[in-house]
Amino acid sequence: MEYLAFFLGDNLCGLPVRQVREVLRRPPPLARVPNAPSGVAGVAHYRGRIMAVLRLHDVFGLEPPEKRGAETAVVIENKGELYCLAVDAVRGVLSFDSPPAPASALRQGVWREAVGEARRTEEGLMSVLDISGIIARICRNNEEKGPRDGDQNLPYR
Amino acid sequence: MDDLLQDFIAETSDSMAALDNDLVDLERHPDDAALIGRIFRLVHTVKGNCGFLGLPRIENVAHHAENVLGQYRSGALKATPDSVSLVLQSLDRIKEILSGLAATGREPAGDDAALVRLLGMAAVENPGGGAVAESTPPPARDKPAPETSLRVGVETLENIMATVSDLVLTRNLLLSHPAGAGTKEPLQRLDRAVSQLQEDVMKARLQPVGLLWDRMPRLLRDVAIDLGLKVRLEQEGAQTGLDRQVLELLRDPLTHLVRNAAAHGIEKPAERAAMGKPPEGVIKLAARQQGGQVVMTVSDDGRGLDVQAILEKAAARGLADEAALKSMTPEQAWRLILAPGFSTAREVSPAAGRGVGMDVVRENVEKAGGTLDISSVPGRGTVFTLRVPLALSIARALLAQVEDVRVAVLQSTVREVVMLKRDGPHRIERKDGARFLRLRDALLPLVSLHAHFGFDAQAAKSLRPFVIVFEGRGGAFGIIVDRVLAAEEIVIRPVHSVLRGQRLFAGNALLGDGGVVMVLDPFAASAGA
Repeated sequence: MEYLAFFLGDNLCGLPVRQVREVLRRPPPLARVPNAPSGVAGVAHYRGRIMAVLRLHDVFGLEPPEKRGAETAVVIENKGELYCLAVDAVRGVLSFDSPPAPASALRQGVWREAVGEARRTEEGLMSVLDISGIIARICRNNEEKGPRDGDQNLPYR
Repeated sequence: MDDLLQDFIAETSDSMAALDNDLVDLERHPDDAALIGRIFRLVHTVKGNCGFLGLPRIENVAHHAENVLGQYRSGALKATPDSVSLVLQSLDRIKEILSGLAATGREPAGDDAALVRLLGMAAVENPGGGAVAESTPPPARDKPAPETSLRVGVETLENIMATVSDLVLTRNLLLSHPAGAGTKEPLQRLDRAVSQLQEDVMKARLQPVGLLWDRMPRLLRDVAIDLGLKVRLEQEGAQTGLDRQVLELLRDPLTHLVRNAAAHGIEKPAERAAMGKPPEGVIKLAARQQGGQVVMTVSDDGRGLDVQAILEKAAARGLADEAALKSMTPEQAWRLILAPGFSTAREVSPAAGRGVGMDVVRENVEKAGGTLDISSVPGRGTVFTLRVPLALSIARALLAQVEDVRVAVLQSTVREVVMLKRDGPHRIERKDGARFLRLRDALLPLVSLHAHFGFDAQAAKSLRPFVIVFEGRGGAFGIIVDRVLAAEEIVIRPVHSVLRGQRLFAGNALLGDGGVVMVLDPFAASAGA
């Protein structure tokens, strides 16, 4: 299995390479959408299609990056729709032969729902993001319109 | 799912639609041998394919329906309405099984014994159907001519459309830069080719409106039998092309209009005869292209709309105050039937609709970026006119700005744009905390996008804003924006799924400059105000 590895704040995260359409050095011009659910910054144009731009920092309750708009953009496809994830730094493609690390009973809050599995790397554990889980969470928060639950900054405790 | 099975489902669905209409025809012309032959062959082909694919339920039903049809063909049985009804029931059963098949890839469980028994009783002799077998023509297609059309998956078409949109935007970017040495002519050629390509892809997405009308003969027949009416359906312009997205949006409204035309419009045969009309009523579907729009009419030669009854009902339902009702022109009164709450689910008969009111019809037409008009003559009939854009995916829109957010509204829904100047003729007035626009003699309620978007309306106070005026269900209303930017052609996409919760937006769209805007649904904005 090959993963695109990147940092969200200090957290090493990964996505299966087959989900990734393209890595853009710079996010495309963003059209803000009023009343969008928390975690959705807006929409943008990508090759004749429209993608939703997600702010994973907000979803995971991380400190927003110092300069918004300067992040690297990862374009992914999920269930026929395009999403653009703003991430802090792309680490590269990592490949693994071994099976993923066992289930993560220690994860809390959003890290439990949004992370499918974990991989051991030389730089510590990499959280493999479950995009469907993240989107479900965003949509649910939108419906509830309530404040987000107290997500913790730390993926593992 | 298996390709073969998918082909079978697509092909059989087509056959079922054709059969519905052919059978309704057959009832009128029970002796048309060519028609009987065609019906027989279609059913026979369906049956043959089933055996091949291992679909015992469809095969069984088709087999027994074929027996009845075989008797028609041999002249042993007359195509009476009763026996045709039975064959139509078998088609309904097959459709039902087909939809299960399409969803799960296998025939759903079910018991067809009762239906099969009835079919067996209708086919007077030889329920086994042996008499028919030897004369069965080969199930091959009627026309050995080479195919001039082929099926393309919707997804493929959508992908091509997306690529073409991207190409158009890239071309626009290229053209906005000064041409370098030697690039002017190739650029012009590229420009032409891209425009042509865009047009062709648009055309490929068009489907004949006849696809919408296909199920109407059957529907009308059932309603007519239910209510003891005689009705004939006429069609004109079935080949008129319409974007498949628009077509889908019009499916329910059209069904409702046709059903209503029969249930409320057409009089009983005796009543018609007494008025000197032919006992058989006529409902006519017509379509034609007019510029970038398709104009579709649903007309009947029935009793027409009863203005007095409409006014009384509107008064009873409190849709308008008495003074307003009294001063209404017939045109205004007709439009009352489009108001929400005019028709209620309680009094809707099975023939007149499934709890859908005319307001929903209008809403769906508006969703397609269209308009719905009514005209009626007492004793002569009623005409509903639908005007919809040829394609939903490319439409002319007005771009407006609220703070830093750009939104688009379909130009077809805009009545006028009013600029508010200091000391100008149009003013904003306040009444009971709400804001209204004094426009000529009328006072229009105003909707603030600032409030909808959660912006501070006070901050925008110093601006001299624009008001975009729409014709709403309950009358005209205005939406205040900071600026009106331009009118341009936009490529509309369904709202991204992660934003589906937003009622305010009907879609998102790509602009010529590669930017993205949300397409505002003005009626949703006004409803939530």
